[in-house]
This record gives sequence, C-alpha cells and structure tokens, in this order.
Amino acid sequence: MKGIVFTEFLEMVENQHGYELVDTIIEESDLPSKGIYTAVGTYPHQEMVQLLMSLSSKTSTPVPNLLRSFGHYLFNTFLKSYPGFFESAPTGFHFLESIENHIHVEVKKLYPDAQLPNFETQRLDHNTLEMIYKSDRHMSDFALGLIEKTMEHYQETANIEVQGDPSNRSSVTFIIKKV
Amino acid sequence: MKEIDLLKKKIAREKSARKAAERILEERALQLYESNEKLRKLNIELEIKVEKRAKQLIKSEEKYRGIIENMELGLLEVDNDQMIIKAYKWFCDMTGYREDELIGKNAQTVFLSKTRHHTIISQEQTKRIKGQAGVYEIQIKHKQGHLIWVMISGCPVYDADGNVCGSMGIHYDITRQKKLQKALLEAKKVAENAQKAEQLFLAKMSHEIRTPLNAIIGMTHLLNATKPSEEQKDYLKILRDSSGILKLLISDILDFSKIQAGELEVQKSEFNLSILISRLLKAVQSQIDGKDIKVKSNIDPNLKNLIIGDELLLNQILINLLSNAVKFTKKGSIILNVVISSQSESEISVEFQICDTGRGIEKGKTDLIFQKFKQVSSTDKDKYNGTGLGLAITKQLVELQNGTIELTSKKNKGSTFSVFLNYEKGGLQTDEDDLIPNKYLEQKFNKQKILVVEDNYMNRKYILTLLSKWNLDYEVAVDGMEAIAITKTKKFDLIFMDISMPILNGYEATKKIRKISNPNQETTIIALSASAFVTKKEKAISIGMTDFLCKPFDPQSLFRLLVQYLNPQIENISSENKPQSNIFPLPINAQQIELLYGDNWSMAFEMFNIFLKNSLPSFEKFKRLADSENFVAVKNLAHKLAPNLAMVGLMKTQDRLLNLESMAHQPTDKEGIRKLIDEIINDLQLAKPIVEKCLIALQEQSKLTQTT
Repeated sequence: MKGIVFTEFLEMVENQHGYELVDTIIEESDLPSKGIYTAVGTYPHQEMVQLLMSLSSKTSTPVPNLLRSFGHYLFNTFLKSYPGFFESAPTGFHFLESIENHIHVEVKKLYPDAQLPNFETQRLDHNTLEMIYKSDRHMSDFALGLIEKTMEHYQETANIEVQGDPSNRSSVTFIIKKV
Repeated sequence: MKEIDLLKKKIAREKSARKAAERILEERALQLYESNEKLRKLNIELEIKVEKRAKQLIKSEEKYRGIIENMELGLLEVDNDQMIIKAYKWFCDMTGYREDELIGKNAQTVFLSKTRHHTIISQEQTKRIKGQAGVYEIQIKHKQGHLIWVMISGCPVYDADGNVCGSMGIHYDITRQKKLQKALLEAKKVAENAQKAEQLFLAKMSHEIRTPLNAIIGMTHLLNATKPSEEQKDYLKILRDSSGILKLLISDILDFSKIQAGELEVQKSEFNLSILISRLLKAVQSQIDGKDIKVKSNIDPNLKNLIIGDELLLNQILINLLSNAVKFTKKGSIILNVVISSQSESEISVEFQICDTGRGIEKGKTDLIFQKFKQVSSTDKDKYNGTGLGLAITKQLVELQNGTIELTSKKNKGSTFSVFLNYEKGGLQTDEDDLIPNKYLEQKFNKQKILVVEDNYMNRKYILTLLSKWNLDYEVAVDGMEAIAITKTKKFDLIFMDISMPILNGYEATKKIRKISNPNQETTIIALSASAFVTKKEKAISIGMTDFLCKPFDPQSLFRLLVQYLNPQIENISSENKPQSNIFPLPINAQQIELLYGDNWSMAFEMFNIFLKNSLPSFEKFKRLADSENFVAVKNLAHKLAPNLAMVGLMKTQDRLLNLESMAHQPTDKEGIRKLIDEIINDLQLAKPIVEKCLIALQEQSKLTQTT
C-alpha cells in the first residue's frame, strides 16, 4: 500500500486526536515498519489493517466509520494535490466515471507497483449512476467516503445506496441517485 | 514531560521517515538516470538504424531506377488531366524532348496527332480513374515530327489517401515490329497474289495449250482417214502418240494443281458400274497397240445395283491404273477385278483390283511410287513416258473419296493395285447396250441440223469435217452474237458452243438463247471448253447448257454425244424409267409404246399379237433374198417391215432395217448387207421371248382395265 495512505491516515488521527493517540496505535500494533512511513514508500496492507483495528478500539468507533471519514479526509488532500483531475470533469458523475480509465491509468504510470481497486460504472438513467467497487483490500467504505465528498465538491446532492453481500466485501455496488 | 517525550518520538520517527524517503528518492533518481541512459543509447541505435535503412532505400531506388532507365522502357507520369509530372530519361530519349520541356505540358497535346489515338487515350483514362491498368498501342509524335509506334502499359498512381491522382505509362518502342508486321502482311498478300496468278496461269495454259492441241489431235485422226501411205501412217502414229502424251501430261499437271488447290470436289451421282468398266476396257484395249496383252474384267455377280458416287473420279482412277499397267506390261494379261467386299441396304464397299503381268517392282519401293515426280528407276524416264504424277494423283483421288489404295508387287512377276472405295447404293441396274458402235467414223446420221459456235478456225474445221462425215447438216457462228442471230432464224437439233469467244462468250450466248423467244429455246447445247476445271462444267450446266465436252476431244467422244442427244428414243430408254417400262423391258422402247397406245392396252395387245404371228416369220425371207442377191426385194421387204418394228418398240432394230433398206438400194457392199441381216435376225431372236412376255403382260393388263 502506498506510503501516502499511511502518512495521510496518521496525520488525520493527529489532527483529530493529537499525536499521543498516533503514538499509542503505532506502539500497540506490532508494525514491521515501526510506524515510520514516507509518502514515496510502499508498505504492507496488513499494517493499515492493524492501525485501523487499534484506532477503532481506542476511539470505540467501528472500522467502517473510520474508513468513511478517512475517505472524507483524503478527498481534500487529493483535491489540493491533483486539482487538474477535477477541472477536467464537469460533474460528479463525469469525475467518478473517469477514475477507472483516466485517473488510475495516470497513477499506474507514476507508481507501477500500486495495487488499485477496480471500478465499473454505468448510467442507469439520467440521474442515476451505478458504480461497482472490486478490491481484495475490502475498503469499500473508504470509497464511499470519497464518493460522498466528490458529490459534495460538485455541489450535487445525491442518495447513495450500498448493495452487496455483507460477508463478501470484495465486491460492492453503489447506486448513486441525484436528488 | 510526557509531551516532550512524545515530541521527541515524533521527531525521531519523522527523521527516520525522511532518511527512508531520501533513500527511496535517491534510488529512484538513480533508476531515472539509468533509464535515461538506456533511452539515449536506444535513440542512438535507432538513429543508426534509420540511417542504414535510408541508405538501403537510396541504393534500392538507384538500382531500380537504373534498371528502368536501362530497360529501353520510357516511363511517363501524368496527373488526372494528362499533365506531365515526370518524364524519365529513356522516355525523353525516345521522344527527343528534355524533361523540363515536358513537365507541366499536356501529354495528349504534345504527343498525339491522330483522332483515333485520342479516343483510345480517353478510354484508357476512364479505366485509370476506376483504378484499372491497361495495355494498348498508339502512335506518338517525336519532337522532330516523325511518328513512333509505342506499346503502352498504363497503371493508376495513388495519392496518400488512396485516391487515383494520375497514371504511369511504360512506353515500349514497337516501330520496328510494326514495320515488320506490315512487311509480313504485304509479303502474305504478294504470296497470295502469286498463288492466284499461278492458278490463273494454269487456267490460261489449260486453254492456250489445249486449244491448238485439240486441232493437232483432231487433224491427225482426219489425216489417218485420208488413205495415207505406210510411211505417212508411221509419221501419223508418232504424231498421234506424241500429242496424246502431251495431252496426258497437261491433264496430269492440271489435275495435280487442282487437287493441291482443294478445287476438286467429290460430285455424287448414280451410275452403272458395269457400263463404266466395259467402256474402260475398250479404252484400254485401244492403248495396247499391238502388244501381246489380254485385257479382261471380272465383275462380282453380287453387283446388282447402280452405285452413287463420283463417276468421273472413279473413271480417272481406273484409267490411270490401267494405263499404268499397260505401260509397264510387255506381254501377258491385265485383269480388272471388281469385288464387292461388303454391302448393306444402303451402302456398298467395292474393291477394284488391277492385276498385271508386268515388270513389277522391288519390295521396299512400293511406297515410292505414290510420290510425285518419282519413277522407281531413274532410267525409267527414258523408257517410259510420263510426268511421274499419275500414281500420286491416283492416290490423292482415292483419298479424296475417303478410300485407300494398296500395291502388292513382285519384281518381274507383276503388280496388283487394290483400291477400296465405299459407295451409297442406288437403284437396280438395267441392261443397257453400249451405244457406241466400233466403226464410229463410218456411221451416218440423218441430216440433222447442227450449229457449231466456235471462234477457232482449226477447231471449227475439225468439228465440221467430222459432222459432214457423219452425214449431218451444219451452220457456223464465230462468236456468241452470231450464234444468237442464227438461232433466231432456224431450228437446230443440237448446238456446240465454245465457252471462250470474242464479243460474246458461250455462257452469255446460251443465257440469251434460253431466255429470248426463238426456235432453239429448248435445243440441246453442248459446251466446248479447253478448261478442265470442274467448276466450269458446273457453271455451264447451271446456266442452261445441256452437257460439256472438254477439249481436246477425240471423234469418239463427239460421236458419243451426238448419239446420245440426236437419238431421243434411244436416250430416253435409259433416262426415263416410267412405271410401265417394267412391262416393256429392253430392247423394247417403252416410251415409243406409250406414245403409240397410251393407256389403250388392248390395242397394244392386238398389235403385239399381229407382230408375233404375221410380221416376225417374214424376217426369215431376208437371208434367202440376200443369198439369191435379190436386193430389190430386200429393199422392199425392209421398207415394208420397218413400221412393224416400231409398233412393238424395237427402235434399234428398226434403225438397222432402215439402214438395210438404204444399203440394198445401191447394193455395193453385199457383205455388209449380209452382216446387217445377221444382226437383225440376231436382234429379233433375242427380242422374241421378250415380246411374247409383253404380250402376256398386256393381256393381263387389258383384262384388268376392262374389269375396273
């Protein structure tokens, strides 16, 4: 998993709870990296799971909620770092549709070893977009947070329905309906 | 305190993270550098490759340009409006222009002069725009004005988008070939003209040589009849033989050239093979000329039908083979066997064997003799006259009728030629007497009127002499115009008409006589021509002539025709087989019977009955009267009995009786009279059973008629 996810995650925890909690979850998790992350590095996915579990127990917040708010948080980072992607897409749907075939393609160029989730999109009608998330990382809630922030950024209100087998989070379908 | 520790920890972690990041970035920078180096190298390699490729291309282009420029092929590239874009060196050399004089000019305007070629170019241009190639030949103008024939292979040229933007023409100079082609055509024409000239020459030669030859042969015959001395007879014999050889020679050469020219066609008609054979034998006998040779024929008794085929060709084949046999046989025999090898209802296969006891020829040389101008021994030419064409012609004549000819021969023992021919079967043969008396020169006709149309003095003299010998009246016309004038004034029994004459030829004269109203519209007209071409005979018959006599002719041929056409009763026996004629077999003239009695069978029965009972016994008296030399009584009896013979149609015997009457009038030739009486008695002995049969048939017939 790319280092930026870890650095941003820890920064969010520090911002929201202070460095003490950051230190606590690092110390409590037995991490091969000893919690030393750099945005240009790559680290095992398992470490993120451990950090999340640790944070969840310390804050008494379920992991999905944590992931969702991490999504919200990271959206702003993306917006600041890569404004070009947003400028080229006129609406929220356009942006979401461009992830798989445009943004991820660019990411792969920069980080050939990045393991990215797969998104299939289909317009069910003028106001409805179906978006299927597929990833072994089971981080669909993180994706949900990002989607919510996206619609918000484009100042479009939408209801997002999550469909899928709760026991198998490797594939989740989002039905995004504009109001 | 705790906060300070935490901060320290954070700084320591961030330091470690920064170092890790630096390390990663350095690695990444190194990777980038290496990648860059690789790229640079790749670039250099690529540049080298491109350069190499470009050099190859240039080389290859130079090679092909070199080939094209040295291949005597002029290349010209034009756009869709025929504007010249590029003219290659050879094209410039070919047309005399420099490339810069041509570029931007309209190719059609510069190079074409004939409208015909403009049309061709337009047609080709339409094809090019459709993307089709084409090859064509046109004439183009050289800078200096003369024309060059070129063969052009044109193909479309495409632009980068695949649209036709013009065309490329490969020009090949074919001026030399065209000249050659023209020369060949002219040569062919010359050759064809030469061939025509040769045929014309042969036709002319035929006429020019045959006409005087005719006079020579004719006069020789006549001279022979003027009681010449023994010495003169010898000379005449040589004269006759030499002119005969000359005639054969010309005939051979003509025949051969006719066969070669494919002019001889098989003409089918029904004929009596037995009669043909008997005539042939007589002709051969006359050739034997004192040699100790017996000539005979054996005709297959199974031959009962007339046959349908080319009588003239068969006659010539057999004459050639028989003459050949006579020529090479000193003594012994010449036998003509006619064998029916097979026959069906409609077809008949005949084998003609000509066997001689002559010198024969060696084994291995049998094939040689059918080749032209070949005689088996080189010294033969001195001993045996001939062109060496005879057997070659014979073979071709046989093959013309899809037949075969074979030769088996033993040196000094003799030769047998076998000719196999297939014929269609005709009707049943009837017995026909040979109408030609042996001593034809002494025969007399009954002052019938003959018109002789002939421009050649010698030929005229020849024919007229013969006609007066045969007791015929004649008039003469020297050209077609005169002939027409005479025929308007007088009725003739027969007209001899030469074909080639000044003022108006024989064809035209005949047409006029047949067309305009005159007493001779139906008169027999016999063509006289020195041309032996079959087509001439056909033409003569087709324009209305009755028959054809080829010059030179001997008196016998002339006599045969006169007998044939001046004795209508006799002729009609053979030509018209009316249904009733099976009641009246020969020698009874069925037509005469019909003329007398028509359908009145009972009257015919009465007359036949009277003839058998009263007239026939009276003929016995002739012998007695002749023996007692009471020729006046012979004359009177003949005069009295002659009409009775006509009543039963015995016309030939009647003729003999009339002859007897005139002979007995002035009984100088008593022996002749007795001989004639014998012939008459003989005639009647043969006729009696036939007349008796007819009587029975007539009785049946008259009963039948009465009951119906």
